[in-house]
Amino acid sequence: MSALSAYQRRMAAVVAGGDADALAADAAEPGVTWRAAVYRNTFAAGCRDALAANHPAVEAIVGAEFFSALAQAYIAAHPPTGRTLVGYGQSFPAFLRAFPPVARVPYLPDAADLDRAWLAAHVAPDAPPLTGADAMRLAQASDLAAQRLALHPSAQIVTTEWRLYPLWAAARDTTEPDDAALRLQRTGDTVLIWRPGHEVRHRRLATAEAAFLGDIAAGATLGAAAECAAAADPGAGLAELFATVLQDGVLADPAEIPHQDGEDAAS
Amino acid sequence: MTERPDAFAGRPNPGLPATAGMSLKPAHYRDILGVGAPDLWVEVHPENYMVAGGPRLAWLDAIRAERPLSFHGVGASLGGEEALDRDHLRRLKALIDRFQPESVSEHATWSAIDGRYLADLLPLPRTEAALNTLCDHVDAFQEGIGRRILLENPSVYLPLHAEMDEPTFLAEVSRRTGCGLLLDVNNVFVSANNVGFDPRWYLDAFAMDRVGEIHIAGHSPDPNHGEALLVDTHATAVRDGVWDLLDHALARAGPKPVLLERDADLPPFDTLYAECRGADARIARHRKGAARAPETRNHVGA
Repeated sequence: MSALSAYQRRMAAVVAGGDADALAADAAEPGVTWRAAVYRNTFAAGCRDALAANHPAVEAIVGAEFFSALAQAYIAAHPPTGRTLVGYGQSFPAFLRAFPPVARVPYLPDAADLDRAWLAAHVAPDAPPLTGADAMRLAQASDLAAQRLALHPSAQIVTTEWRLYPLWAAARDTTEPDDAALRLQRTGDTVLIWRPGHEVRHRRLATAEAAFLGDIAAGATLGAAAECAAAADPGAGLAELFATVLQDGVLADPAEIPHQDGEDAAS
Repeated sequence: MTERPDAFAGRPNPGLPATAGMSLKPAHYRDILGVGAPDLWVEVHPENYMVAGGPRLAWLDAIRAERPLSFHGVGASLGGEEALDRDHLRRLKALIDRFQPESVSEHATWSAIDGRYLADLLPLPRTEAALNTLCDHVDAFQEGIGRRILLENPSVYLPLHAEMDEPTFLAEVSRRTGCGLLLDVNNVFVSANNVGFDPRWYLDAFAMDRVGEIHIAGHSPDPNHGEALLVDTHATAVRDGVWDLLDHALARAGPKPVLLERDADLPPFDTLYAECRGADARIARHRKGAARAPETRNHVGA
C-alpha cells in the first residue's frame, strides 16, 4: 500500500468517527490532530442534512433531535457510496424497520417509504403524460382493451402498513394534521406519487385504482387491468376510473418513455 | 519535475466573463429567471443535477439560456489514490454535453476511498507522490470530459506533511496537466489563519497567469475553538479580510471572473446580488488599472 493510500485510509477512519490521533504522523507539526474534527463534523452534518432533505416527513414526525440520532446510526451502518449525497438514504426505510428504537414509532418506516417515493418521482425521467385525446387516437387505431400502456415514468405506487397518508401529506406540506390524520390505524393503504409536469403530486388510491394501475405497471393490457379492477371492487365505475387516471396524467405511451441511461440517483 | 508531453491540449473552455457570478441555489431559481443583472453568471455543483429528469434540470435549462454557466464539481476526488469513478465521469460528461458550461472546475483534494464517499474536500499531503497522483487524475478527468478544467486551492484545517508550499504545488499541477487554477481567496484567508502563514505571501506566490476564476465566500469561527479554527462554511456574508485579499489578487491578476459562494443560511437573492455588485465594483477598478493587460476571456484555462 502506498503512503498516500495509507494516509487516506487513516483519514477516512477519522472522518467516520475514529480517534484523530491516528493522524499524528501525517500532520505537519505535533499536537494539531484535533483540527481533523472539522472534517468529521462536515461529513456527519452533510450526511445528516442530506438524509433530512430526502426524508422531510420522517424528520417532521419524530423531531430534529430524534432524527439526528437515527441519522447517526444510519450513517454508521450505511455510509454514502456514490459521489453525491443527492438521493442518499436508499436503505433508510429498511434500516428503520429493523432499528429497535423505532419500534415505538412503528409507522415511521412507512413515512420513509413515502418520502423516498416522492424523491424518486421528483427526479424521474420526463415524459408527456397520456391524455384523453391520445387515448381516443389509440382506440381508433386498434382495440383499446388490447393496448399495453405504461405508468408515467415518475409514478410510484406505495403500499403502506399503516393508514399514514393524511399525516404524511400534512408533514410534507408543513400543515397541522387534523384529528382524523392523527388516528393511525394499521389497516394498510395504497398511495400514488407522481409528477405529470414539474410538480410532484400525490393521493390515496381506491382499491380498484390500485388494482388497475398495479396491473398496468406489471405490463397487462388495458382490458386485463380493467378486469383486475372490477374483481378488486365490483362496484367501481371503470369508465370513470380510466377518465380520472388520464386526467391526472398517471399513464404514458410506452413509446414516449425515454430510455434511461444508467441508474438513477434516487432509485 | 519533468513536463509531460501529454499535457492536455484539448478544446479550451469558452471562458466566463470577468464579472461577478453567484452560486445558483434552488431557493433563488424564481428570482434569477428573467431578472435584469446583465453581467451576472451562475455556478452550480453538477452533482446536484445528476438526475434523470424533473424540475431541477428544467430550471437550469431556463436559467442557462439567459446567462453564462460554470460547473464546479465536488465529487471527482482527483487527489484520491483510487482510479476515477467512471460512472461519475460519464454523468458529468452527459451534463456538460447538455448544458455546455463556459467553465468546468474541481478541487485539489480527495473525497472517496474504498468505495466510500466522505462528502468533504479532504487535504492532500503536498508530496511528490501526491502530486503525481493528482496530475494523473487531472489528466484522466480532462480526457474524460474533453475539457480543460480549473483546479481550486483547498481550505486547510489540519496542516499535513509537505515537501513544497501550496502555490508551488498547484502551479506544478497546472504546468504538468495544462489545467487552469481557481483561486479561492476565502480558502486562502481561512488556511492562513488556521495554519499560520501570511495570505499576501500566498497570493504573491500564486501562479496568477493560470487563474481562470476567483472565489469569495464567508467563513465562521469553529463553535468550540473560535477564531483559532476558521471554517469555510459559506454561511455568512464575505468578511472584510477576504474582500482585501480579493483586491490584492485582482491587483496582481487583472480582471477575472469572481464567484460569490453561498451554501447555507441563504439570504434573499437581492442581498446576494448586492454582494455581487460589490465584487463587480472591485473588478471594474482593476479593469481600469489594467486597461492594457489582456482580458481574461478566452485566456488560460478559463
